[in-house]
Amino acid sequence: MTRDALDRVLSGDQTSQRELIRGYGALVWSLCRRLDPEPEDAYQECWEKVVKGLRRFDPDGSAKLSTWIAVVTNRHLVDRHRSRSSRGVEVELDRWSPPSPRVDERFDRTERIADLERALADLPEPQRRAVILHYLRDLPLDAIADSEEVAVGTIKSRLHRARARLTEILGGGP
Amino acid sequence: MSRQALYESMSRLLDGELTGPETDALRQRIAGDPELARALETMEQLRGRVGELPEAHPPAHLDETALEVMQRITSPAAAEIRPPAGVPIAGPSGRRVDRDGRWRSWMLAPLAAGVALAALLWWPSAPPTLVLLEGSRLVEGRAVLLAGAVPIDIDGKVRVTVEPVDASFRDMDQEVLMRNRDLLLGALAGAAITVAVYEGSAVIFPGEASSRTLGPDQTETIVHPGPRATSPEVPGSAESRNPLHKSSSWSSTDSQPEPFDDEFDRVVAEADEEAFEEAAPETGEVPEPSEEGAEPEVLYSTSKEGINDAIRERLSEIRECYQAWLELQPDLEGTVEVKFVISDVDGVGEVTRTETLDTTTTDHTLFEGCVLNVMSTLAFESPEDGGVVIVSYPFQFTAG
Repeated sequence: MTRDALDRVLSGDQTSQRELIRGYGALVWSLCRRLDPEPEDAYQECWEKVVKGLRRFDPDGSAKLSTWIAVVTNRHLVDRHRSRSSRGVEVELDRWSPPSPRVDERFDRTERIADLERALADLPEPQRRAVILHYLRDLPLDAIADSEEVAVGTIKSRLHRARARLTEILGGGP
Repeated sequence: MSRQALYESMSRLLDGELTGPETDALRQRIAGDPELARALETMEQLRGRVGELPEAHPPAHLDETALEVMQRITSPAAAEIRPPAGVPIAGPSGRRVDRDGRWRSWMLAPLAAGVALAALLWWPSAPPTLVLLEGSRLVEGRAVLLAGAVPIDIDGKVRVTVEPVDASFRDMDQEVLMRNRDLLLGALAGAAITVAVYEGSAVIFPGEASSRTLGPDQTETIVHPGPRATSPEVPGSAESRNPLHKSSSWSSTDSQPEPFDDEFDRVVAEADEEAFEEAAPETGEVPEPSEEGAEPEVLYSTSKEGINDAIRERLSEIRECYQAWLELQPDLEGTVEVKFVISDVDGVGEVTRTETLDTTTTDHTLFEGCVLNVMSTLAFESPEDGGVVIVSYPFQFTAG
């Protein structure tokens, strides 16, 4: 979006605001639904952060708007994660099916995607954020580190641990 | 070296972070171990596989709410209409399901919007941000809760319970309620609302009556008549059934309101019967999962094992849900991934919130609601340190 379009967003122009949501809603949602246990709340809050911080984004600068929005979104998701961590503990129970007649068939691409989504969901949140942001959203490591307020090396370590865990879950291991 | 550590080394190998000797040693080990070779292959493909995950667009109602957020922020009068700090900004159209899990997003949105509209007529400042149409909810912090049609401004730790006045609503089949708008509105808005303040305060705005503030350790029950009290089809004067016309509220220790008159009961019963004949399955009623309010005999711990045990004990009820709905819809199968929150309530770990996650694939609101009903009645030992435990649990249902 151009500077003019962003200015229109900030001045309350609904058409421009819809355009912003249409253009980047999938990006924000893809992060919220994978990185936050309450993605719908997170989605609204992230947009609030984006709009409030939009004046600080320079459309003529080196960062793309998508990257900037991903960083802002991630920063807020990290805040939410920290807040949750101080309030309670999250328990992911084992995958388990109640006994019922089964049909063991259909192992197609849809299932492969579902497997991967489940494996990602099994990762601790910081590792999941690193994988999603770097592998799915192509965010540079330093941008991720900046949004998480940690060193680049920490993000690399998280990626290695996540990759090892995913490999185990997805069948590379014993 | 553990398997995890070995895999991490392989990850570093792929990123070129190992020294020359380390690389040689690891490659030699991989060459002699087919399992490791397969793992390395899986690992090499990971980035590509993650990168190919399909893009998902948010539900339309979320974009509309996001637009409202933007409008609010960019409006010149934004500062005046901003909700208080700490109030969640999600509107009533989310997928949250309160307590018994019956009311889902697709029906909550229009209904809550209608009820909220009525409520806003007398709401003094910020709009409601949480909605409870039936069941119980523990609210902590600063929030505005629309209970039935009654806005409650909460600042502290407060439990709000909404129960339809007429018990027949609770016993009615969900589908019957949904097919009969009048009954549904009656069930949703005509409610007994109990507000128990543990900490802080709650300000209740019961319609045309004046607001009332409750402090710590105070409990109050009010009855909001809902639309049926003024419905022209229902005989009897509104005043005779609506205590709010006489006083703003009454305490739970006061005498209870008179029941709705016999004629009203007859009208409801006839409508119930008519709708039920139309909607009820030939095979009989779909079972309610459990007795509400039943005292649990065993409190499980909130450890992973304890939660697993608690759920396994209720497995037969989950199966009843599935088998009943399977008879009505033979192709019903898929995943129901449930998330619930266990919070301390008077020393007991109660399930204070249930919802299905987006990974749920059954696309059957009533069946999923039945599963959530079961989850909402689990009871545990109180979580440690007064915190909460958030549980995600996937059920896989397949039909033979």
